[in-house]
Amino acid sequence: MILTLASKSLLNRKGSVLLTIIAISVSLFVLLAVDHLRQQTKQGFASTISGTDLVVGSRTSSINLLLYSIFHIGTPTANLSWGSYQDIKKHTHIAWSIPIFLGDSHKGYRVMGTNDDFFLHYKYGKKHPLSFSAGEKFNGTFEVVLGSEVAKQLNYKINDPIVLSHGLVSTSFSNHDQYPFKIIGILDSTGTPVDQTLYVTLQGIEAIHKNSKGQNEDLAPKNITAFMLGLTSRMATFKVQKNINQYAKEPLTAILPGVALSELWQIMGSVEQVLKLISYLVLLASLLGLAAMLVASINERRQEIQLLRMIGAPPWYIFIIIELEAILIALISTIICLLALSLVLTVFQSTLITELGLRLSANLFSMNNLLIFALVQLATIIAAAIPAAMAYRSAKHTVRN
Amino acid sequence: MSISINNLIYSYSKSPEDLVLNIKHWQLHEQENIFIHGPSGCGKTTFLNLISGMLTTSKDSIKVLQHSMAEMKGSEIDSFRAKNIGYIFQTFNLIPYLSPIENIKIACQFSKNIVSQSSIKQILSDLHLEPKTWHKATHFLSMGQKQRVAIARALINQPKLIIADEPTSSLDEKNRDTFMSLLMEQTAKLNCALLLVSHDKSLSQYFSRVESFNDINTAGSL
Repeated sequence: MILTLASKSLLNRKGSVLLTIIAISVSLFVLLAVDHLRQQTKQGFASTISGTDLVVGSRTSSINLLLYSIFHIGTPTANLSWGSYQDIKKHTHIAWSIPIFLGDSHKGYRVMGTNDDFFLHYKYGKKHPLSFSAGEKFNGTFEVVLGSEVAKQLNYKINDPIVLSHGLVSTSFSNHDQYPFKIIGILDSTGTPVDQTLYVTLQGIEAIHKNSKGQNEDLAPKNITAFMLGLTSRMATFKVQKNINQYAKEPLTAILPGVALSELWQIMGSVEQVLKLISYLVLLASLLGLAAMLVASINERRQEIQLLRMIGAPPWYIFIIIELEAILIALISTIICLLALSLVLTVFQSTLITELGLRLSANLFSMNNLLIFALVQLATIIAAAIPAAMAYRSAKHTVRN
Repeated sequence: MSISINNLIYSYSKSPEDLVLNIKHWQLHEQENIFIHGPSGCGKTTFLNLISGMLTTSKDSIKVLQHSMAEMKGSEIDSFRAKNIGYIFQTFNLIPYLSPIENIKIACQFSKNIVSQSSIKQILSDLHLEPKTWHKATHFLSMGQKQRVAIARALINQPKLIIADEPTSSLDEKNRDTFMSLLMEQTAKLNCALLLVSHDKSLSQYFSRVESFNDINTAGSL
């Protein structure tokens, strides 16, 4: 009955209650969106590369190298020579290497030139190897392997022909029309930038830039953008890194992906904190709005409180009604926020992936989010304690005159 | 004895020098109906608030159904009031956004009486309230209908005492007569005592015992 009373009381004050619900929903949306973005980005970044000891590129900052070579964010500053790559990979401590060539795209998705070693050695998440949902790895010059998201979004199947574009924009006019590639394989979903990338051989990249048909020609690459290294022993990491950074023939940068990621989070940390603080302040403001609305309602409901007291309601019952009303408002706001955020994430998922390279899950039921919901409920109870205490006092001293 | 008052002296704490009530001795017997009339502002409502326990005095001067109101704790008074006293006011007798049935159910909740939906419907029928109004929010009901729901709410817990404070003041003559007839009929059926206060002396016709509040309360004459 107390729930009926609280819910019907809220319905009776539709206008002010609706505005309060909207205010809390919006503030909760901001809080949750910021936190979800933070969590998912961190999780996504952290799981993108696993088991790679060093990433090497031309001389640049470690974060820049990590972003463009692994996460395909931004543009490479310069290439490094194929000769340097060949030279370095001969190092005794190097177990495997994966060359990376970037610079072309297909309908907004990046194309990465590499070799078989990519499918053999690249690991993501908890050292998961890549696997194919259809087809197999490339063998010929004009064969292409698609990331799962590319195949899904562009509705491609095995053996479909596709044409690559020069540059990284989705509306490039410089298409390599005369060199169609045949889709030979589609990778399983990884939840990393791998899903949004097309993979071709380094020879294929060389061929389209050389205007070659790829037969009986020297298609050995001259340059690559970066390469990943796996070492025989972790102990050798710093030694190899130092050697590469001091490589005499070409200025190169070797980075430890984990360390570069930590640097990135350090830079992001303060922005993250400011965003978090702003979202919490917005939420606090709307909860104070809720308390103000309830305080105003108590003055309007003095007769109702008196009536309840007359028919035997103890003062704590009045306290509970006010708290219950606040909890109901917070619950409804939470549900609206969850639905709105899920909708936004679902609707804008492909835009976020193609435009920002962000793959955000529409599933908002994480431990962290549940904790946020619980905290919001707790904050609501605390904020509503002021009007509830006022109602309690009013109930305790109420008399009809 | 339904109500027994001895040497009740009362003034509000904000102005202790202004004596509101001074009642030497006054009683209401079990199953007795009494009409107390008096002009507005003479202290009738304060008198009723003290009897119902909404106002309290430190002295053991009021006994309701053999219970000393001064000796009971706040929560005991609330529970006692819910179980034993049915209250009808002039206006705002009902929670406006709840239906008649819900308004009555709330009263049962506080008395902890388990009352079936059919009993609630029966009492609403007895008070000539049409079924189509039972589930409507009470702010859609006419004043006459609201006052009849108020009777139902006051009677549902089968209290031993009904207190009515100016219950007919908002009603026209026809509705007033209907209301009074139904109230008298239902209280007789329930064998409970009825204490009705009003400035409207024409209500005297319904009662065997009629008193002027100024005769009971000597505070004004001091």
